[in-house]
Amino acid sequence: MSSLKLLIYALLSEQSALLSIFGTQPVWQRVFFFLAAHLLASVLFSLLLTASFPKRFISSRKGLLGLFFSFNFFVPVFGALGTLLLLLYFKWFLKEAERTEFSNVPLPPFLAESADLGSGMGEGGAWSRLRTLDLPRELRLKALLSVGTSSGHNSSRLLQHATGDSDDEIRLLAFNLHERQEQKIQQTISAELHELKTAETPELKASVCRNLAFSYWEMVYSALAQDDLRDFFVEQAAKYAEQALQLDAKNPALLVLVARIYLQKRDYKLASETIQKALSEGADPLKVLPYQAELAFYERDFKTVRRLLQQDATIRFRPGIGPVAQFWGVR
Amino acid sequence: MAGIGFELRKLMKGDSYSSLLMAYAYAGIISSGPWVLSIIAVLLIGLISLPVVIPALLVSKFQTVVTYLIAFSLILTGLVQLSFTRYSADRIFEKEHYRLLPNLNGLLLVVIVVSGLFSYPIGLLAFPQQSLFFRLLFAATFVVLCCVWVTAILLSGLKAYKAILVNFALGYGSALLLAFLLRHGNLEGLLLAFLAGQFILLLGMFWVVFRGYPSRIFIEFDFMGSGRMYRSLMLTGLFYNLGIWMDKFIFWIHPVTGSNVIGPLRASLVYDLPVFLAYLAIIPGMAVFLVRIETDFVEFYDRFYDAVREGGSLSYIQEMKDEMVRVAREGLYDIVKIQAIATIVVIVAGRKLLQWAGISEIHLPLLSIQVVATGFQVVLLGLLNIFFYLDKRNRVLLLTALFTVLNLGLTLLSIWMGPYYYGYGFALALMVTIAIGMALLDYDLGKLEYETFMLQ
Amino acid sequence: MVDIFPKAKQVDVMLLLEGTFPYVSGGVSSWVHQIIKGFPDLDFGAVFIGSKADEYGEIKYALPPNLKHLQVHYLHDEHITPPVAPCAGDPHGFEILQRLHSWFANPHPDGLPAELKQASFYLKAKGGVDYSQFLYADRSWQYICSLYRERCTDPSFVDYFWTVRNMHAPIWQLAAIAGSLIPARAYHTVSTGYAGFLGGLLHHHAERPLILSEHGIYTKERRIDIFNNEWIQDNRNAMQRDPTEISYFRDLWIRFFETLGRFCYDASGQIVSLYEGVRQRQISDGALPEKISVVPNGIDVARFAPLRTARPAKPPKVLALLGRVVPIKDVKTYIRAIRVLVNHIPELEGWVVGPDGEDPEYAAECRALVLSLDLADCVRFTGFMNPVDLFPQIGLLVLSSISEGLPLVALEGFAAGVPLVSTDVGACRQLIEGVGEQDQALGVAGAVVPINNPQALAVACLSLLQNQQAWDQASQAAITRVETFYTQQQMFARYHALYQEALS
Repeated sequence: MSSLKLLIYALLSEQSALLSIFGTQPVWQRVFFFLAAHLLASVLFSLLLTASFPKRFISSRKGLLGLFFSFNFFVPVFGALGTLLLLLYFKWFLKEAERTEFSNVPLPPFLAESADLGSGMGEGGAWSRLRTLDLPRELRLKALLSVGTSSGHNSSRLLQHATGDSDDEIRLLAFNLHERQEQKIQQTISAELHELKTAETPELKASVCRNLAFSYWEMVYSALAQDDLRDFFVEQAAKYAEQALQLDAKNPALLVLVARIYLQKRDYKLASETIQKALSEGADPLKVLPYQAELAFYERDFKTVRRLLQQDATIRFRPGIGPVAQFWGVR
Repeated sequence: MAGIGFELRKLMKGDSYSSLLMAYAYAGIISSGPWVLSIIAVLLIGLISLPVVIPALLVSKFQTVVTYLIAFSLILTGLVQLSFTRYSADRIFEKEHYRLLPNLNGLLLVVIVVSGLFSYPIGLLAFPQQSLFFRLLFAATFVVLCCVWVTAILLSGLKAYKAILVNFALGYGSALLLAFLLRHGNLEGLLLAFLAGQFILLLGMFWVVFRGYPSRIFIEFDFMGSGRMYRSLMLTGLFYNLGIWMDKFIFWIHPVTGSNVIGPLRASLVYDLPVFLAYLAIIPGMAVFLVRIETDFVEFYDRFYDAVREGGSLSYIQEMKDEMVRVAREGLYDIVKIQAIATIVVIVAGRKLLQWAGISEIHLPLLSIQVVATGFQVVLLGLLNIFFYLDKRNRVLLLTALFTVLNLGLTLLSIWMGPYYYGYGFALALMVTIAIGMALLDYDLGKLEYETFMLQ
Repeated sequence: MVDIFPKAKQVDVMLLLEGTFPYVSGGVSSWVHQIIKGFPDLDFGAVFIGSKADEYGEIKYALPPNLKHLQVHYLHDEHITPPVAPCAGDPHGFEILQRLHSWFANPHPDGLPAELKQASFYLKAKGGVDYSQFLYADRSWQYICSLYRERCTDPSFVDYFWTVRNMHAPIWQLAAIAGSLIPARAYHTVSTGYAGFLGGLLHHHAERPLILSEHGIYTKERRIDIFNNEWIQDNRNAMQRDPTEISYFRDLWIRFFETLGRFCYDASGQIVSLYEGVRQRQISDGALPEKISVVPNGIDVARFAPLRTARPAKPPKVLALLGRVVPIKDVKTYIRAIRVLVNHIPELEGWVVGPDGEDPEYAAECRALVLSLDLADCVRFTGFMNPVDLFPQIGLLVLSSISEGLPLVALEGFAAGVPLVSTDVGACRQLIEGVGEQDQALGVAGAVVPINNPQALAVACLSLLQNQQAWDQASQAAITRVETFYTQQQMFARYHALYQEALS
């Protein structure tokens, strides 16, 4: 039955139910007629409403039918009115747009707890404390923690040194901290190697190789490997950088990395060539400056070193290279 | 729906007396609006039809019928009022807002069927003198009223007080209008107008829920799962509503004080009017309740539990608890204070007020004691709410059951003792319940951290 | 799987084992197995204490016939949590607990309140503090609050509360075990920690002697674990956190285990250490020097002697690390050393011989490391292998652990003539270079390198593998050393004396 027919029949039933209320027959007859007609009307209305219920609501038919039927049945006339309103609403006013819900993010409370002052120990202090073997263990542990929890090649060197300490606990703590730093990069490398196996497109391969090259280099740069292992990592970095360059020859950051690798392997000519290539591909000259200065230094061309370093006004404030630049007279 | 606290805070930011007054006025309107509107509307419908309807007795029939319908629908839905509020609060806490609409619909289905099965047989059989039309209207109005309370309880649990107020205004306003148009239809006309108003009210509130808490499911019966609705809360809701109406029932049924009005329904000429007028006097108390308990207390309560959960230090936790206790105490005392003022006003200016409203002065003594009693009722409401926040369901059950029993016993006693003592039953029952409740609250708040941590 | 445990009414020696025999395979478990088999005329019982049932698989050892009684307890599973029952708490009991905490601050051997040594203190509701009171009493709450106020430097109270609860719950479980255990004539535990605490309780309860054979320093190992652990909270925000200060909760756990250790030392009649280094550590941790004796491990040399000839004359270019794949064995340094070695000896193979199920995350990291160092062809994870099959196939035994006691595998390798290259931990230096004039004169049985140094490890291995004469000398030194000082007969003789004394 089409919905229009259903509607008409339902309305007719309801109307006859209404009329039967005001009739002149004995009460119970009227009640009977009313109930019969009203029941029919309710059934029809609820079927109609359930059928035209929007599909985007997931609901059991039985539940819907039950609700609409009971509402229609136990609230005569007004139930029908409600049904009609709902039908109109579904037909004309319901839009498909879903609302997303926003949730509130509460501000964290300001904790009025007092803070202890820091230990006031810098790198130099930490080194000297670790080297002094007859200091109490607590102080030396503190020294270890103050530098060891940051990353970077200074902290790696400190941790390496502490791993050979005579005190068991310091050794173990240093080992633990060292492992943690190493593990971070190691996980990246493993994930990347795994991706490399499944990479299909050349762009994807290039990007994975690039990340691998940088990751392997990170191990070297953070002094997390020594001697033969370090050489191995340098070789791996070079290998993957090479692969990445074959697929994407113009990446300036990659070229700078390759230049640094050559510098590490003391292949100055190739390093210098690669730097020029990097610059021509758009590498930031200020970033490349220290490596050029280093190259010039190895060639004993000290004037160039100074000239290069003076090209960057802010270089004296940068960590690592800053003191070097100041030594070379950069104001 | 922005919490009501937010808006109140905005109003109070002015930091002057007038902005404070505005905030409380706003709170008063929002919290008391629905009650007041329904009382006034019912009274007004009576007034409108007075010139037209003969005899005036028909008007009081209308008012009696409506009163009974409201009373019984409140008591029946009392079974689900509190438990469903708790259910929806739990769902909100678990961020399952999409469950609210479907379970409301499921609950409505159950409520409609149960209330219909109640009201139709009673309506059809208990009024042999009345027309079929009346009997069907009676039954249908009962069903719609039950639905209205369930939806309203969900909305007030969601703190959507403005929405409730607007819809009540709309619903009762249209009832008034229709009553005016239908005033020639005698009792049936008035009842039809009332039913229409309730229907509009129901639709309006349902619309608010539908738009405010969209969901992909339309109907669901999750609330019927085990453990979803607490049995203690169901009983508590039943007892609370029963307790409030208990004294009125006694006065109606008792041969000394009550008289027959229509069908089996009885009313009490001496008791009814003062009681309902007394409810008008709790508007300030409700305002204070909303501001202090529902807003201030909740804020400190939240801070206490946040401090516990999110790693605050012990001294901070205790500070927050002390603050919470302070606000609870102050809130309850503020309700007492403001209602005391209202009572004094009624006692002092009562005669003039009654004259102005055209009501006989006989009702004045009863009115005075009833104003005190209804004031206590607000205090009890505040007390119960605090216990709800602390999740002490067994305490609330105890207090409401106690209140019901006391109300029953003491009202009977007051009738036996004579007219001077009318109304004291209700007031005394409330007073005893509150005293016991406060003592229990003191004890529980003292042990709060211990219970929070140790008795998980 | 339901294991059938032997049950008896009483035993001669009750062994208290935490995380070792019979569910975990390893050096200590093998030693326990060896001891039980070495005294067939004594009736043994064993109490195994683990954390959660699903962390252990099946029993890894054949139970000897003189193991007459076995029971198993899991401290984190056994939720014998009593039902919630608010109560005030016994005033006397809690007053004793207060005294306990002043002892924590100032530990000395006699300061521990005598009542706390009795298992009944933890089990009775009046005069003591039982589990239900600890969990639910008002006084218990006050006690925890006062401790927090006095001592805790971490802001979060809820974390402190739960840490204290979790830390102390096993105490009550152990007290329940002590109260209900079958009688024994002597108690023997192989570590401090919870098993040691149980031993102490049993000693005071039954008034029979307790022997402690410390194989690894429990507190040291817990310190390592705790440093590794991320789940111990540190709630100081960036403003408060001083990175040189260890999180308060880590500190709390460490001190807790130290206290358990002290309790055990105090209760033991005899404390056995494997080597002198352990003895020193035990003394500094609070053990009385008179109680300590050094009894090194010993092995059945005859079992491994035939393997000396089973090997080809030129040692195979195969290295093996024998041990579980867990962080304490530092398999990663070994793998890195292989990387260095392969550059010099391309045909070299490095085997990792041991089960990898105990720490799957770490095992996965090791395998990933093998891949990233491009060693997939050289490094093999063989899983568990019978040493008798293994030793003829390898040229060197490698131990790169960061912490060891006196490893049995080293002795077994020596008996088979395999030199050992090891990190300088535990007794390894003493095994390789000898301790005392007579021992040192026997020669160097391998090489000692610093920990976490793949380069040094590789260089040491190279010098042995590429120099036949050095290898032969090392092998001979190894054989002589183990036959002179580390035989099973010697160990059994010492323990026989210890047991005789305890059982009388």
